[in-house]
Amino acid sequence: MRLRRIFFRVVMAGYTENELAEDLNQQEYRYGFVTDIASDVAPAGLDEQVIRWISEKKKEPQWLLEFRLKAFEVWKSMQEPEWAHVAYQKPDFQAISYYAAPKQSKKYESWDDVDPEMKETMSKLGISLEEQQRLTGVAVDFVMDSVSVGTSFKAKLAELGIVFCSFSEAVQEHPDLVKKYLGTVVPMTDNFYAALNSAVFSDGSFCYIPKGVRCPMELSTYFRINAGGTGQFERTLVVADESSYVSYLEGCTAPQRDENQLHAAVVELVALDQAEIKYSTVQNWYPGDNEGKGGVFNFVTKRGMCETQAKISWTQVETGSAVTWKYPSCVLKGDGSIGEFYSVAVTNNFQQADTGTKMIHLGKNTKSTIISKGISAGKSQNSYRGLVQIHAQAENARNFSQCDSLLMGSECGAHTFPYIECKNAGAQIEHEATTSKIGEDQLFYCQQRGISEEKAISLIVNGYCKEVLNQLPMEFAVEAQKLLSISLEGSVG
Amino acid sequence: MSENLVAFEHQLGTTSLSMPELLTKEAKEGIARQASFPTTRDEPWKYTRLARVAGLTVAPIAFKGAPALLKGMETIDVIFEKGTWWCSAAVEGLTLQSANEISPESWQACTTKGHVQHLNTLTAQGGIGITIAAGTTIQQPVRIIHRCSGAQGAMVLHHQIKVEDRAHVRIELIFEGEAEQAYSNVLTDFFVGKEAQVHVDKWQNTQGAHYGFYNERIYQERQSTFRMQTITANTHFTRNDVEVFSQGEAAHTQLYGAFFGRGQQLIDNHTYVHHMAPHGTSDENYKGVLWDKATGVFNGKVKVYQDAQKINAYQSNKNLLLSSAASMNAKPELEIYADDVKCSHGSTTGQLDAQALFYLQARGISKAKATEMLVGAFCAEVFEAVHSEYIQTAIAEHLTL
Repeated sequence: MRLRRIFFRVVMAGYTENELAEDLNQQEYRYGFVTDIASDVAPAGLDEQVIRWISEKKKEPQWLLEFRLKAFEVWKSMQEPEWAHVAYQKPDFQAISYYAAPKQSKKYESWDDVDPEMKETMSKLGISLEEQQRLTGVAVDFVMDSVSVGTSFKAKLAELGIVFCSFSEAVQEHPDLVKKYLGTVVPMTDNFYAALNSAVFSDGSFCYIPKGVRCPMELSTYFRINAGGTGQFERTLVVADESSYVSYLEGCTAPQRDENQLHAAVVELVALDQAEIKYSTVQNWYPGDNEGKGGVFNFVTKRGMCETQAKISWTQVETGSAVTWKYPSCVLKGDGSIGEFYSVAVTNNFQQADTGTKMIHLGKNTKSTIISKGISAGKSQNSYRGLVQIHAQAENARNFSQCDSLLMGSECGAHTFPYIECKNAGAQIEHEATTSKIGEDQLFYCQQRGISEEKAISLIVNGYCKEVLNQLPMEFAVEAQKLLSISLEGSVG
Repeated sequence: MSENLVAFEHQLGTTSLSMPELLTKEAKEGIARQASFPTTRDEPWKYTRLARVAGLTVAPIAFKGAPALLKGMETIDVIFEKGTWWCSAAVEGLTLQSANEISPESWQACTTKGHVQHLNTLTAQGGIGITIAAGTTIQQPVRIIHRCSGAQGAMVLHHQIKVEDRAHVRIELIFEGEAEQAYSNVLTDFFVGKEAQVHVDKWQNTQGAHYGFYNERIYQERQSTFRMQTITANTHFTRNDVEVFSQGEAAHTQLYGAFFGRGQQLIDNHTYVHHMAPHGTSDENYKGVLWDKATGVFNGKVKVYQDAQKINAYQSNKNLLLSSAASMNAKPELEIYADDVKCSHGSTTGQLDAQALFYLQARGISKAKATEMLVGAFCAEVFEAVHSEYIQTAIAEHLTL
């Protein structure tokens, strides 16, 4: 804890708003590079043929193909949802390519076999595998376009019986586990994008922690959309068996393109009795340029199922994407289970975010906490949308929600749409929300003590997000903090 | 899907008010487009089922001609009951007229939305027009009493209250009556002039299977103050929609409410405050207490327009569930497009403090009495804002178990 605090201060002192702005005028979106790797791309469009093609390409068993086809049928009968507080040109689902894989997608025998250009991509992202392996002890699974390209630290994890691999690998090597849990938390009929994902998902990560095992390191996946004209549809399934613990990190980037790219992922978490899953995301898809052109549409379904006394904690830092539509949720099914949601969502320029959570209390003595911090700048729109639902049998349930919004600039919007539904008299629900700009008194206080306006703003914003950033693992917290400053570049002063 | 809304509209007959063609056309189109009553899939009716309303057989109650004169009262009263209506004489600075006599141009200012308002536009059978002249302060409260009784009556009324610049007035809206089965749809428009002050106390206490839809639309000018307290008790089905258009600079709006649901009652409160001009303030405070299998709904929305800087908006909704089968749905919303604002809301749902209850019981106070005291304290903020003695007494009677 102490180490973290010191580190924060160094980052802040060394990186003022002005320097940042200068840095960024030249730099803009620093992940906006395209890696020149030949890739295997499916023809644009979606029909049964394409789904069969993907399934065959991945040598999938029959049951999975059937799962996909069934999902496709469901998807065809569904309407694209319109209730979110966002406006965008709906993607043309027949113009997207549903599968793009780096050409040499054969299994790598050792790290040296990996295409040097791919390694370059990774180091540009700041996640050079070698370095990570040696220094941080984080096991990384890297998903580029649709295919997982390298999973590190596998052997060490295997000793403990932990399975951490790409989704397609899991389908081949642990079909029973995948079959047992796939679609149990987010059924294919759940919503339009979940159905689409179920039909066409190409890869993703799979993780299984056996009974009573505490995963000794943080597991991490990086997602990247590289090829143009493609969508990314990955699927993550994390299963924590009884009394186990895992902390899982997820990062996302995409190259700068004029077109809108679609990202429709599904994440399913299963926390069995007394298990704990901590799931952290730093989402930094390309947000579009200053005029709102291009950017990723991030339509994601994330949900966790908590059995008896299990705990799922979602932490997210959302700075990218042109349009975000994302509600990491917890179904508190077991008695005494706990759900947590910590979120910082930053929107700038023409970004739009409609994000929040759902806490469904089914079991007795269930608890949930929601802390959501929204920051809107430029001409962006940032909405919190949340549901707290206490069912009749959920005796003694407890919820605390806090959603704060910070407005920077007169052309942006900040909105709050909380739904609170209570069917049990034993429940205690508290919800509070505030919307304001940075207090003039706070600014004055800092400036009066010799802190420049820019620094003061940066200080206040960091303090404002601290509750959430503190939930992140150290490396992520630093990255998130930098991202936060980058995203707000030019919006203050 | 049947066209039950269209059929329902036919039941209610044609309005006796001279509505401008534009509004009638809009309402007709609205009803035709919708054809059937909204379902719980429609966001504004998410928690309120209208199937029972759609199945009602009702006959319109018309309030035609001139009202009978009421004399010798300390208050200025307007009473609507069983097809006849009474009205006190006008006093200096206050004019009263039948809504049937209001010119089409005067109705023009409002826009209608939703099936309840559309139905009102097409089928209203009377109402009162009140004008308070500029600069006058009316000492006596103005009471508008609605008594819907008997069987199968439908009371559809449209009132218009104009409070001119710098005028002060206190209004009581009272909805009572004992009906086997009834439908009410009362729409009241308030035009609050510059620096005018309006205080409204609203009391809803109807017995029997009464389905009540009450809409208030408030248009506020510069530096005006509008306060309204909505107290709902003992109603089978009540839906309140209060929509405030805070159009002038530095206008203040206060919306308070308390509702008490028992049995299988449903009480649905919707408020919507539009902050359209700078320096405005709004303060909302709703308290709900639910027993038995009652259902409560609170949906409060505050929208701050882009040019409306320096807004200070506050909204609070607290609910008590006093029986395991009671349920509460709250949705406090903020939609903000201006940056220099202070907006906040809070919502809680829970039960009485066990320690407080124990403290009282330990001192020989029965549990029922202790509950009554604590519920009274819970709602005190709202009750204290009620100025009407009539309503104060009625509340006290209602809460004494």
